[in-house]
Amino acid sequence: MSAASSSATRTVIAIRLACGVLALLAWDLSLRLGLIDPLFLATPLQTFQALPKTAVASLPHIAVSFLSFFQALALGVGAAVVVGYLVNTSTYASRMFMPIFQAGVTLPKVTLLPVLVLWLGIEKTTIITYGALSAFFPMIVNVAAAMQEVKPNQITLARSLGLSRAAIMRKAVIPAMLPVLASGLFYACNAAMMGVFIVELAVARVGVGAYVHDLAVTFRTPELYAAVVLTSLMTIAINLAIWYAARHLSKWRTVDI
Amino acid sequence: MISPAAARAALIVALLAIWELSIYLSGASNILIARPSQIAVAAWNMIVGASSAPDFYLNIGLTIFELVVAYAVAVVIGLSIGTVVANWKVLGDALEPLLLALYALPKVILYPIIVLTAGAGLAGKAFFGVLVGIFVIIFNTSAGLRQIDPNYLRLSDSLGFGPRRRFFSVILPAAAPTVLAGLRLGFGYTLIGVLTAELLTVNSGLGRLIDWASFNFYTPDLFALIFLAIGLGILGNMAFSSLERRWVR
Amino acid sequence: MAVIQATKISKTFYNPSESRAVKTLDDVSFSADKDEFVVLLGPSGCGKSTFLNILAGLTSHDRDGGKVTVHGRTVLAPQPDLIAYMFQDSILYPWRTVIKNVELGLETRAMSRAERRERAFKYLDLVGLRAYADHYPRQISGGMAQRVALCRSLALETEIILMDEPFGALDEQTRATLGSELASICRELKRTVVFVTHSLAEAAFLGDRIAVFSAQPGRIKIDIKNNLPRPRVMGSPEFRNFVDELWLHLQDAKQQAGAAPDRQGSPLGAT
Repeated sequence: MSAASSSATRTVIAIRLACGVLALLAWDLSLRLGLIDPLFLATPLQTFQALPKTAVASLPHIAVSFLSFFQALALGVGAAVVVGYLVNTSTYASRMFMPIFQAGVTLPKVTLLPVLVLWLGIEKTTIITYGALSAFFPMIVNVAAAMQEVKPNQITLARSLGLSRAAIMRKAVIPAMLPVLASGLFYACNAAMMGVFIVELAVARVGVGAYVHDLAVTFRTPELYAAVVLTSLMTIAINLAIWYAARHLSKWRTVDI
Repeated sequence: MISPAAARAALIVALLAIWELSIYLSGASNILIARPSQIAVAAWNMIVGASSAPDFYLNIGLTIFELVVAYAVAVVIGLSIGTVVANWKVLGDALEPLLLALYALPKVILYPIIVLTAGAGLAGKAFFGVLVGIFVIIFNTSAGLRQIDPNYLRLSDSLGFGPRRRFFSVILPAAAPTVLAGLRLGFGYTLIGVLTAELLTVNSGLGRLIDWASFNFYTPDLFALIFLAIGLGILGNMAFSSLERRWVR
Repeated sequence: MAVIQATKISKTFYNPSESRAVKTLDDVSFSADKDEFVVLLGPSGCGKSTFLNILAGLTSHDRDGGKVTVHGRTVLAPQPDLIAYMFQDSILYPWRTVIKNVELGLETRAMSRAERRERAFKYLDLVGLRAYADHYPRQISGGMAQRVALCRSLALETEIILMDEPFGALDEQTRATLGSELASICRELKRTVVFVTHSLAEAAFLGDRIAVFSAQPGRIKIDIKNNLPRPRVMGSPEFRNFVDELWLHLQDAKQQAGAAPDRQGSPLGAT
C-alpha cells in the first residue's frame, strides 16, 4: 500500500517536472529554431538574467498595483457581503435579485471601462472602482451560497443551548459559511487583480500593468518577460494561498469516512 | 403576489424610467451620460447605417467571429483536458496544482506578450479569449465526471451495459449538469476575454467601435455599444439556460 | 414535588396563506416530579412535540393565562442551566470534532478549558465514545451521532432533560440499544426526563409515567403510571400486557379525534 502510493507520488512529481521542462524547452526552442523574432521573445536565460534589475525597477509599480488591488478587493468584497446578506435574508428578494448578480459574473463588464474613465478620469479611483466591480459579482454569488450552508436546525440547537445572538453568529453561522466564503474570496481576488491590471494596461501611467505595457511598446523584451514572470509568480502565490486556506477551512466537509 | 421574475422585470423598467427622467430633468451633460431614449436612437441609427460608426457590421461580425473561434477551441480543448484529467488519477493529481496556478493567474498580465508573439489580430485576441475561458470548462468537466455516483456505474454494469451504452445512458446524463454549467460560464469568460483584448488593442471589432464612440464623446453610441456587448453575454446565457432546462431534469 | 409544571397551555398556529387558525394544543396541564421519567405518547401530529418545545421555551404558547414554570420560575426562553433539550436529529456541527460538539453548550459557562474537556470526556466515557473524540461527525454512524448528542445534553448537567423522539431517525436495532443505554444512564444519573415518542414499546420500556395525547386539538387524554419493575425486559408477558393497554388508550384517543368533525384542519396546515 505505502509502496504503491509512494510510487504514485513519484509519478506525480515526475509529470510535474516534465511539464515544467517541456514548457521551458518549447519557449527556448521557438527562439532557437527562429519561429519567433527575438525582438518579441526573450530566451528563458535572458529573462532570468533580467530578473534582478527588473525586480528593483518594478518594485514601486508593484507597490502601487497591490495597494489598488487591496483597496478594490476590500471595497468589492465588503459591498458583496453586506448586499448579499441583506438580499438573502428573504427568499423573495433572493429570487428577485440573485439572477442579476449571477449574470453579472460573466457579463463583459470590461466594456464599461470607457464610461468609468469618462466619469472618473484616469485616476486611482477608476482603477479601484473597476477592480471592486470585478470582485463584487463572484463574491456575492458565494455569499448567497454560503448562507444556504447555515441550516435552521443548527440555529435552533444553538438557541436551545442558550447561546446569545453574538455567540450563535460566532459558533454556528460563521463556521458554516466560512468554507464557501473563502472560496468566494479566491474568485473575488482573482477578478480584482484582473480588473486592476486591465485598467492599468489600458490607461494608467504607474502600476504593474502600465510598466509592462511600457516595456512591451518599447521592445525591452527581456525586462518585459522578467516583469511578467515576477508578477505572475506573486499573484499566483497569493491566489493559491487563499485557495489552499479555503480547502483547509473546509477540511470537515471532505474528511475521509 | 407577483413572481420574483416579474418583480425583477418591473424593477429594471422602473430603473430605466428613473434614469431617463432624472437625466432629462437635471439637464446633466450629454457628454457624460445619455438617456435611454437617446441610446435607443443611437442604436437604431447604427443598425440602419445612419451613424458615422466605422464599418459597424464588419466590426460586430469580427467580434462574433473571434468569439466563435475562441469558444470552439476552448470547448474542444477544455472538454478533452477535463476528461483526461478526470479519468487518469495520477495525471489529474499531477496537473491539478499546475492548472490551478494557471487559473489563479490574472491572465491579462500576459496580454502584452500575446500581442508581441501572436500579433494584435484575430489570432492574439482569440488566443486570449481561450486563455480566459478554458479553465472553468476544464474544472467543471473533470468535477462533473468525478462526482458520478459509483452506484450508477455499478448498476449499469449489473445491467450488462456496454461501454457505449454506459457512456450515453449513465455517464453523460450524470455529468451533464456540471459540465453544462462549465460550458455556460466558459462562454461568458471567453466573451470577457475577447472583449478585453479588443479594448486593449483598439484596432478592430467591438473594441474599435467603443473606442470610436468614447474618443469622439458620442456618449449615446458608447452606451448603445455597451448594451450590445452585454446583450451578447445575456443572449449566450439564455441559450445555455434553455439548453440546461431541456437536458437536465 | 413537581420540578416542571405546565398549566392550561394552548397553542394556535396561524396559516397566513389560508388565513385560518389551527389549534394544536388545547388547555394542556402537565407536571413532572424530581427524577421522574415521563413519556409523552401520541400519534404523529398530535402536538406532543410542540408541547415539548413550549416546555423548553423554544416555542411560545398562546397568551391566555397558561404558563410553564420550573421550580416556580416562569419559562419564556430557553433555560440552558435548568433544561437540556435533545432533538430527533443529532444536529452535530460538522465543523467541530465529536468532543468539541459535546463541549458546545458548556462554552457559555464560566468554566476553564480543562474543566470543559474533563466534563465532556466523562460523558463520552459513559456512552463508550472516548475513542472517537477527535473524529468529525461525517466520520461516525447515525447511532454514534445520536449518542454524542445525548452526551451534549447530559454534559450540561441540568436537572431536566427534554427529548423529542431522540431515537426516531435510527434503525430498530440501534434504537433498542440506545433505549436500554438511556434507561441505565438515567437510573445512574438521576435526571428528570420528559421524552416524546410515538413508539409504544419505547414508552413502556422507558417511562415511569406515560401521558397519552389525543390529536386535533392536542390534549392529554390519560396519564398512566408504569409499574413494571426495572430493569424491564422487552418481551416479557407483563411488558406485553402493558403495551397492549397503551395501545388501547392510543386507539381511543385516535377514535375520539376521528369522531370530532375535522373543522380544525390539519395541524400542519396542509397546503
